[in-house]
Amino acid sequence: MSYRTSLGLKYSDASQLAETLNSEILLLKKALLADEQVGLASQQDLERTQLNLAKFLRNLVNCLKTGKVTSKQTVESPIPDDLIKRLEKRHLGRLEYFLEDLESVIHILEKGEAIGDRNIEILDEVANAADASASASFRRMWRR
Amino acid sequence: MGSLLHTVLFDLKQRSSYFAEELERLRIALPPAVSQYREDMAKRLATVRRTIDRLLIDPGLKHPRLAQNYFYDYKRLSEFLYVFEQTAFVALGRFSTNDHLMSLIVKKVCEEIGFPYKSPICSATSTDYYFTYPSMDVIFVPGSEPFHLLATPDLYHELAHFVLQRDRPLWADSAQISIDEHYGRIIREKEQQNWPTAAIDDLFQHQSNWKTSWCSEIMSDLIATYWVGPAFGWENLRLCTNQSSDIFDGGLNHPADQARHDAIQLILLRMGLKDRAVEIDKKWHELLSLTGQQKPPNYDLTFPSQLLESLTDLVESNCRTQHLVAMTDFQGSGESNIGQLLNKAWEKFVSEPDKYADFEAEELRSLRSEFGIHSL
Repeated sequence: MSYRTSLGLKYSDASQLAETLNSEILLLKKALLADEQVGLASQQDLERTQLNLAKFLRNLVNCLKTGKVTSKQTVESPIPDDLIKRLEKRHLGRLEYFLEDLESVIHILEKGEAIGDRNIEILDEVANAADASASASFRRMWRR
Repeated sequence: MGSLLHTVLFDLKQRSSYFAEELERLRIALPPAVSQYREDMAKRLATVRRTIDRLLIDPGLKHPRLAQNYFYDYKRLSEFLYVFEQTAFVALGRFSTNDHLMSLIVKKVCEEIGFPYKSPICSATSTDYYFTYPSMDVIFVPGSEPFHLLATPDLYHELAHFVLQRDRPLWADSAQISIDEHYGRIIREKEQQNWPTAAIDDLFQHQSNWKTSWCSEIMSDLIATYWVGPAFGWENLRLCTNQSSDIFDGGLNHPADQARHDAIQLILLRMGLKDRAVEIDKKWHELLSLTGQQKPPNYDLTFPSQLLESLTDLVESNCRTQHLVAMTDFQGSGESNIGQLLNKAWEKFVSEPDKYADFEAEELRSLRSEFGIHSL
């Protein structure tokens, strides 16, 4: 009944998404570094992560292409409106280039090909926006 | 000197240890009704503490290309502890006989309605009306709620949020399809009629609002009404009478009060409770008349009756699939339950408001006695 419930549910979604995305991207980055000291992922974990990320990015691209959160998303991983708006704002006037970059990351992830530094930059940008979205949602809930 | 991230992790470690110690201290003080909840929360804290310990020795924390990702992990942990402090810790740390009564009421309600999860605890310490935080298994209600019954139907709305959040594919998936289908069709029609871009954008915005917020509120109202019947419709009327600013206007987080009333009406009719629905609707029109507000021209595009019908179909069907128990399933069974009590309370209040206070006090005395809570 109160706005707190609604804001709390939005935060739950946003933070869960940010956490999942971050752990998946971290795993890919560790694989790229191939440094035993920071830990290596199993091939199975790596493949699962690549497919999960590709699926998420596909949804993200659809949302960014329509410019509105209106395209069909998988409900298990809803993309918060706020995340879409953040990415749109960051790429204002050059969104098509960002979409091309995302498509190329999706292609690499789906094919299970080796990911490069430029791809990681794109993924980091998405993780950063997801984190900012979760943090903003958190602030709305408690620090109004 | 360690990195900022390494240093602040120690703050989280200290705080989580404090919470864990406090929960351990409360082990003896808390009644059995919340002992399982306390244990569940202690386990979650233990997981957080293990994560912090793992991060503190993780070499990746210092790696320049990974530090930012660890920072994001840190923020989620920090937020969790803050949410924990504001919800579970407050509820358990200040647990009173009033909270005990409310928690037992919630537990009994959960048994009656076929709630498919552990019943949450309830804390009468809210400064923001009824609200819940499903991931923390707690419902907050204002401090005077243990002494009243008329607003108690709102508990069912909060419980419905748990159901919606925990089985997204069943509830949200179908609902989102209904929303997309409805607005997809309307937008195509309006584009063919050459509506201006701004008006089409408004439709997209409504669609987005439905998907991100309004749908879960309307569906929670529908489920609550399915569970507790007319009492929820009456309570919605009471709440809107007390708090509504613009009955036909929806905000970003909540749909218009009129749409919520309409949805409640729809499900009451489906439940075969036409007489009660008509009584509530009559009083609703009195409220409209008192406010002097009128339906704006674009209202039907924002809150379309066809969409409300679709969502009502979905809720009715899913409630049956999930074996959630409708209020009408209790009628004539002679069994006493909270849902029946709340409907009785509202009938009494509507018919004899001047005599209601005595009725309510007596019913609450009986409830306290049934639950073995005497020292309120």
